[in-house]
Amino acid sequence: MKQEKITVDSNQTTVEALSNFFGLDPVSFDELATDKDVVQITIEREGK
Amino acid sequence: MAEQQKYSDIVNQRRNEMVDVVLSYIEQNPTEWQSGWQKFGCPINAVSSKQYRGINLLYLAVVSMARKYTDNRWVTFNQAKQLGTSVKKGEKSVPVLYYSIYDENTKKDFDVATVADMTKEERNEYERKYVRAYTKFYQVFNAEQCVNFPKREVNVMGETERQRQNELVESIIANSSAPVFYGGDSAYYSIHTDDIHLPVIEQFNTMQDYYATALHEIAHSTGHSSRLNRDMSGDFGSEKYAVEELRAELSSMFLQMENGIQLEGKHIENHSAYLANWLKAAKDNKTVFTAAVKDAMRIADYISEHYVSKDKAATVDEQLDNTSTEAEQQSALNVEVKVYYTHAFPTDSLGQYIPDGVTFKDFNDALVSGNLETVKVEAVYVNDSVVRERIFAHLAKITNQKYDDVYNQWLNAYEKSQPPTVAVQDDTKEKAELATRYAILDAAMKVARDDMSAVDARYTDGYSDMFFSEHNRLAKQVAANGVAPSVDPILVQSLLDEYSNPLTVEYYGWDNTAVKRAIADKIEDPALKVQMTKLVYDYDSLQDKTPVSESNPMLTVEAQQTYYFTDTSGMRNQQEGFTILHDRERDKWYLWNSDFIEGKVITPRGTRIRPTIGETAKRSEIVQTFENGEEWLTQFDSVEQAREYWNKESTRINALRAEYGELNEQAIKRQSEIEYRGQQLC
Repeated sequence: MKQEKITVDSNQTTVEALSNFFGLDPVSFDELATDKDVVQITIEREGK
Repeated sequence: MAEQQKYSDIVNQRRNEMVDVVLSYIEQNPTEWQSGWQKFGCPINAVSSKQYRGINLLYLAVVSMARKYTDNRWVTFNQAKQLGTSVKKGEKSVPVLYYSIYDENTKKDFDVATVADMTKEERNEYERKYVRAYTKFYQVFNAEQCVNFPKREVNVMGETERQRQNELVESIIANSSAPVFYGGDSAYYSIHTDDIHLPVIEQFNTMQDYYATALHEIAHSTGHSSRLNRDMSGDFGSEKYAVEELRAELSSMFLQMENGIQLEGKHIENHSAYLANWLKAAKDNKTVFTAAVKDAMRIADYISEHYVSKDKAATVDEQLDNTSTEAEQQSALNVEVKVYYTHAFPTDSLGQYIPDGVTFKDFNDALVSGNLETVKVEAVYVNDSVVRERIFAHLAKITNQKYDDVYNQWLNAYEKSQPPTVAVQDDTKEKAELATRYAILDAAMKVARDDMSAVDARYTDGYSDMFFSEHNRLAKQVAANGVAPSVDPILVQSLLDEYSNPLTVEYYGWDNTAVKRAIADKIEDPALKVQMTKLVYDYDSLQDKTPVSESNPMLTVEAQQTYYFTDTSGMRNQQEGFTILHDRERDKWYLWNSDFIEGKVITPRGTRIRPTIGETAKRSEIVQTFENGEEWLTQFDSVEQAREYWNKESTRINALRAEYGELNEQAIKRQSEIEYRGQQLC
């Protein structure tokens, strides 16, 4: 599985940071087909 | 180096590309991006029929507009096959993105309640250990990129649909938990007092304009701490303020898309143009933009969930609109117009003035007979076009007619009942002066509409609303007169002042000279253009050297200035104090005073600075105000009366100032005006 890092504001929760980054709310994990196209996101907080 | 190999850059890159597409489109189409989608509707997935959300919705709407698709349905390659169609050769797909947050500990989607009771450190540790985020981009094609895609049912905007949309927006306004007050010249939400202020409905040109403005302000009100609790601390002109404007505009767009509401009009265009300026800056910070999109989606969800009252509309339907049988239609016709109107539009105070006892049957009979006097039809719709449109829409619905048929019945009868529409004047000089007035007003309205599209709509919309009726009336009159404009320099300068002052917004770079020059540039009559050009491009001639006379009678005879306020941007200047003006022609005295509210000195109206000793004021500034209300400029028969009034006001203001203690002096001087303005979100 591919991995990618996104950098977010250090004060934001994971949920807040991801919704701000993507500009929408999450869907259920079941709705994402777990195939090779899925990318795992690692969150890096600014200032760390 | 190892890290570069470990992490791909697909997600950042593709999300940024989506945002860039949206921003570029908005930048290149500042007046169209919000209304263009109305041609095809909210983007949906053709298989699930679900509407796309957030950035996906915005992106697909923009792609559709850019590629001129008229179908709102989208599918993946496999879904196209599933529907028995296929993608045309050579067609290119576009991405939509989804993500999920999974909890390895609970083996379910992550629920924030899991970490709600933890400290920040515990929460971070839990999230680091168990919470995983996954994302995936799907490639989708528009229905028009496919072969033989199943036909869709197009929802035509009939009168029933128009009525549904109007009632839906009315229910949103009626259910707003921030109270809505009507009056004044501006539309704004005050976070300080948590209330919404709108001009009275009759000041809007169309219902669509009114609804669009109301939705925009309601969107702002969701930021209050009792609702979605957004950061609303931005002062006017700041980036935070601009972000909140962006949220409000986007949420209004989402709300309209998701509820099938189509609001068009200049309000949207002007706001869009204003936002386009800010969006250029957003190119450098994509997440600020996507966060605003997410916030806008939540605002739209909040309003849909809390304010859209389906049962209310149903109640009106059941009681008043159920026309499925002839008997029920008869029943609906027997309902009094006032009863219907005050139930369906409880926020419109004009409903109270509809006469009692007139039923829809009486109203309909008058229209059908062509005799509008039988029930004084104008009185029924309170001589207001918005009320008339609503009553006509309902009448059309309960009589199973088209709205246009009802309207045309009325129009024919109305035109027959009128004396010749144009009262032709005999005096050629007056006709010429009228032609000058029309030419300058017409040019000024073009400036407001075309040249000042980047200015906040509060100014340009207010201007158009203020002069809309006058412009239409003059157009007819001048066309009938057929006389060329007068080029009398005193008249021209006086009219130029009258129509340029309300358009002057220095904050946006439109000082009075710039406005006057723009007006002169748009004058069509060659002789008048020469005269105006001479006046406005010769700076000295702009200085008001006209002696006090009939055309310029207002002279400041007394003034008192206590404080002088200015903010750092130079946008607002404010003098606390008073000015007494004398109209020598009419021998009337006017008191132009500042007001003191909650520790703050405010300008009662507009951008005009109160004249000081030696300055003059045009009569139009006084007369216009009196026509709209006398709340801030008071007329007296003698200067002594004016002084006496001011002395009482001074006593009251000084008492208030004492109450506010620390808020006075330096604090007021430096902060009051900008704070007051910053809390009004337009």
